[in-house]
Amino acid sequence: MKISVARKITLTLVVVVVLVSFFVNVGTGTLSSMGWEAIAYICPLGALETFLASWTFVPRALIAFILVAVGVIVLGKVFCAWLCPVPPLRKFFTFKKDTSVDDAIAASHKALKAAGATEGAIAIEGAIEPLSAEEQASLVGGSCKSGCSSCATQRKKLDSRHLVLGGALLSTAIFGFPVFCIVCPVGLTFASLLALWRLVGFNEPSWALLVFPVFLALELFVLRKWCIKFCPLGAVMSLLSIPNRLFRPHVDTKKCLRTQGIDCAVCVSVCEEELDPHCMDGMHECTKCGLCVDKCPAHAVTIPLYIAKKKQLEKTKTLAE
Amino acid sequence: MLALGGVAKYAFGDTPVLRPPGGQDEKHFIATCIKCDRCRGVCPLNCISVANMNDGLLNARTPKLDYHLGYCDFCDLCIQCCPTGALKDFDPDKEWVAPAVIDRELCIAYQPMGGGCMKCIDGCPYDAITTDTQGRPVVELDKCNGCGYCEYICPSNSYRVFSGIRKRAITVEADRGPRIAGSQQAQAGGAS
Ligand code: SF4
Ligand code: SF4
Ligand code: SF4
Ligand code: SF4
Ligand code: SF4
Repeated sequence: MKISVARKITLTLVVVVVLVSFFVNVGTGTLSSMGWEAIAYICPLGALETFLASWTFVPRALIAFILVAVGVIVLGKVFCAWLCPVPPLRKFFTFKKDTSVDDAIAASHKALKAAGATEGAIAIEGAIEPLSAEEQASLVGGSCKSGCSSCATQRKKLDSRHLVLGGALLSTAIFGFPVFCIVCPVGLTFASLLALWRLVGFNEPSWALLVFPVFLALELFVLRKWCIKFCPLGAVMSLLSIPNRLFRPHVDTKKCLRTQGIDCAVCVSVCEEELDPHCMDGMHECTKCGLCVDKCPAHAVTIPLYIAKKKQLEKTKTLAE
Repeated sequence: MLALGGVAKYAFGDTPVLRPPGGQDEKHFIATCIKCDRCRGVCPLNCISVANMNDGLLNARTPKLDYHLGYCDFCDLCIQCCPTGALKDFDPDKEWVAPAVIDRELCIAYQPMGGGCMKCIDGCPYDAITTDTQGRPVVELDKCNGCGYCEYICPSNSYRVFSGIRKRAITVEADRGPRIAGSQQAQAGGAS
């Protein structure tokens, strides 16, 4: 099964759970907190905000926050690709499709054909001058020192999202309520659904039905690149995920077209986090969305549970010989 | 973000909202509620509704009791579900959500010609509504905990078709301060 399909199923499940909680008295909640009675996931940013706003650390919230934090440390920013409704929503309402990804894929396929190979082919002996051992070594995560183009665009550890986060937390501490929650696009998505349901099911019309979607649209379409430029929730998770080592995408350099001298950039152009799976730096931002895995024309990218750096280096050595 | 916090807090007046049990300390409540919708979703008697923009930007999406939809039997499920402790432990014998208040203009029993309605007097699960010398309902403030059963069953609206007002003759309204044990504390507003 393609990873993108698995992600669609997961998100659909979340939405179904939320919709069920509209109709049945189970109180499973929304993505701000979802669970069964006292056992629940809590939004890490929401939890932080309540601590700062009230200067109390309710044990239940603190425990939930710690568990979520550990989850993010172990799994990385999976929330962004697997649970968050915002990116799919944006995609759904973006009518002008971005063709850069398709272009990149088409270009790689063309280059592959020109090289006389079929999709998925591994090494094409002699067709193209292979990269030098040095260049190959530079492709491997962690050992990258030669400053290839992929690392030049590498993301910084701290960026504008973290500024927004700082502002949100400061404002929360000053005014004494979770400020960001008011405009959180995740919250607003479910609030819009709820407002719609209250209107239909309870005849409770309210401005919310208009205001929430407008807020949401502003964030998604006016503040473009919300996820990588503004989202403070993403910022919290990006900080927590710095130690993450599991499920990092890994490129099999033997298969990667770049090794065969084709200037392929499919994985880079599909990545919504603007990462290059060849380059380990900044990889904590990876949301495990699997687009690079799904789209790589050579099936060179995988998301293994864990990959030791040493092992990678050895692999390159054998390749170089 | 700073501007947003200020605007939400001061520019959009927030009206007092009737919170689920345990949410009476409004300062603590508004500091900790993350608008997750779990309390509303879990309430088996469906008395929790959701505040919207009319209740102020600060209150929008927070839970609000609506005793037209149901009443509260203090099952505590909402308190158990609340992930942030915005709803604290609640003792219906010592605290109240807010007291019930009778609007004599609307109450059937207080009408010069009408009368006879005993619904809330008979219905109150805590025997908090007694009668005055003329058999009209009076709320005993040291017994009422604001469960809302009286409001839920009050027929004043359906008898008086003229008005189109949604308000019933007996209501549990927010912002009347904490309950003081054993006292008939003064009622603000509504009561006359
Ligand atoms: S990993 Fe796949 S998509 Fe990325 S450069 Fe190599 S062949 Fe292209
Ligand atoms: S590196 Fe791959 S899996 Fe990670 S966010 Fe980018 S496209 Fe998704
Ligand atoms: S205590 Fe029970 S009945 Fe009362 S509001 Fe909470 S969930 Fe509903
Ligand atoms: S369960 Fe608690 S945090 Fe969630 S909406 Fe209700 S009061 Fe707010
Ligand atoms: S049920 Fe309503 S109308 Fe009847 S006596 Fe009580 S308050 Fe008045």
